[in-house]
Amino acid sequence: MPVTGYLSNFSLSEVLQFAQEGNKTGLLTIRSLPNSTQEFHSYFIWLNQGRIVAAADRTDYQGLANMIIQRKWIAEPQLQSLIQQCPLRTPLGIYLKSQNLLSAEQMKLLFSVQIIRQICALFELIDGSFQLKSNVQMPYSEMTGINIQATDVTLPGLRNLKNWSALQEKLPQSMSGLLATVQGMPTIQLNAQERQLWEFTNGQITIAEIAKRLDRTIEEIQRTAFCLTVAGLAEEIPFIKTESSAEDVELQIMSQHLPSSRFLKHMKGFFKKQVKSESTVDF
Amino acid sequence: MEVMRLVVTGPVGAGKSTFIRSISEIDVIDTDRDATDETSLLKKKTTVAMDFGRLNMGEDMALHLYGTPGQARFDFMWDVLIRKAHAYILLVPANRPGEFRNARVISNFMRQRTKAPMVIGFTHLDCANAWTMENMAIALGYGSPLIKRPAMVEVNPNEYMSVATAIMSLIEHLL
Repeated sequence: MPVTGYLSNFSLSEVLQFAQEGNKTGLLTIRSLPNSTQEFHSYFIWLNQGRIVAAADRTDYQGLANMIIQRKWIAEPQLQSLIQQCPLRTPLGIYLKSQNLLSAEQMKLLFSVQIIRQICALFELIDGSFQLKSNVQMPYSEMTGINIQATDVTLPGLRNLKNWSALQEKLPQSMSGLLATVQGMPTIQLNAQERQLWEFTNGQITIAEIAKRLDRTIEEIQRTAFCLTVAGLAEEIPFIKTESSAEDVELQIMSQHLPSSRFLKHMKGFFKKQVKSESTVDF
Repeated sequence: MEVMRLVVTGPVGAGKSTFIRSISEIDVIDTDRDATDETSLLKKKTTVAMDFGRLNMGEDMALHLYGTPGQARFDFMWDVLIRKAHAYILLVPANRPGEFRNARVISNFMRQRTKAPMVIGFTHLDCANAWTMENMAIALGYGSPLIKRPAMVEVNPNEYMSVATAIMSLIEHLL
């Protein structure tokens, strides 16, 4: 069953985090809404085990070929013939490289334009629908052979985002802290503000306090914190300011003691009896 | 009198108050007020402090149920409820992906504050566009095989038997 929803509820950054953490393979289709002020478009992102392998704004599998032709790296007739000769289940990029027609550097550039630039632009969509469908064939003629983790486009995508209104409700609360989910420095390159915030991902200090220490607005820190959470680098941990009293300590001690096994067995029996009698009535 | 305190938590619209009403033998004591923010689009009333329900299971045994507020504005009331909890159930509405992040944050919060056993109960699975339990588990941060998943059950908060079954699965973990 495809996973569907609206970006106004479940943002693109959350969809990519979901795809990566779920190791998803399939086709993610993003559609702008027909009645939106933005031009209506469909975008296609192919994933393999949580990694992005191709992206296109067309379904004729000619996106990569078009980019190569535009750059005049291979003439169109020759490229069309090469596409026909490309072995089954082999990304076109890998085949062209094996034929010494394109270099690794050219392939990287194509990948950057095809994936990073194209997907980053999608973060500007204020609303749209999404569908993640598994069991689709990989688009080998759209593939360079390079892939990246789905969330690797999240940070560049959100860094350039100008309109944050759609994500306002998603931002971590000012009284929350951040807890790193990876050990050491993240492998993805952080910018200066992200690096500064990274130093505070110990779950011990609130976003409001971090903002004060870094002399930035709370909203700026909330946005950067959101970036780190959806990139899978940190989790939001809400704080509550409390003053422990003797009564609190007593309550804590009480809660550490689970009900007796006699109690639990009795409770289990009680509910079992209820379930049984209910099913007897049903029949 | 031996009492088990069960906290029912989750985002707005998950069915926490309904869950407690379905199983409680007393009229649920609630602190519902008119919803004033985006919650008002979903329902007229929302829990602002807590719900309380009770189920006696004999002369000297009772289950006390405490429902947290839906909006993730964590305050002293959350702290009081969590400190008292023997176990908790996190309800997540399958048809409201917009609430999955809140549910994830609540789950992070609870894991930080208590070692009490938990069960995740997925509600509204029969609604159009509901996500599957597996996909919701991923959205809540339990996608990696390295992260130990809590027990996850389907719950219809409107049905006594479904609520009872969810509580039984929690008891299984306590025994």
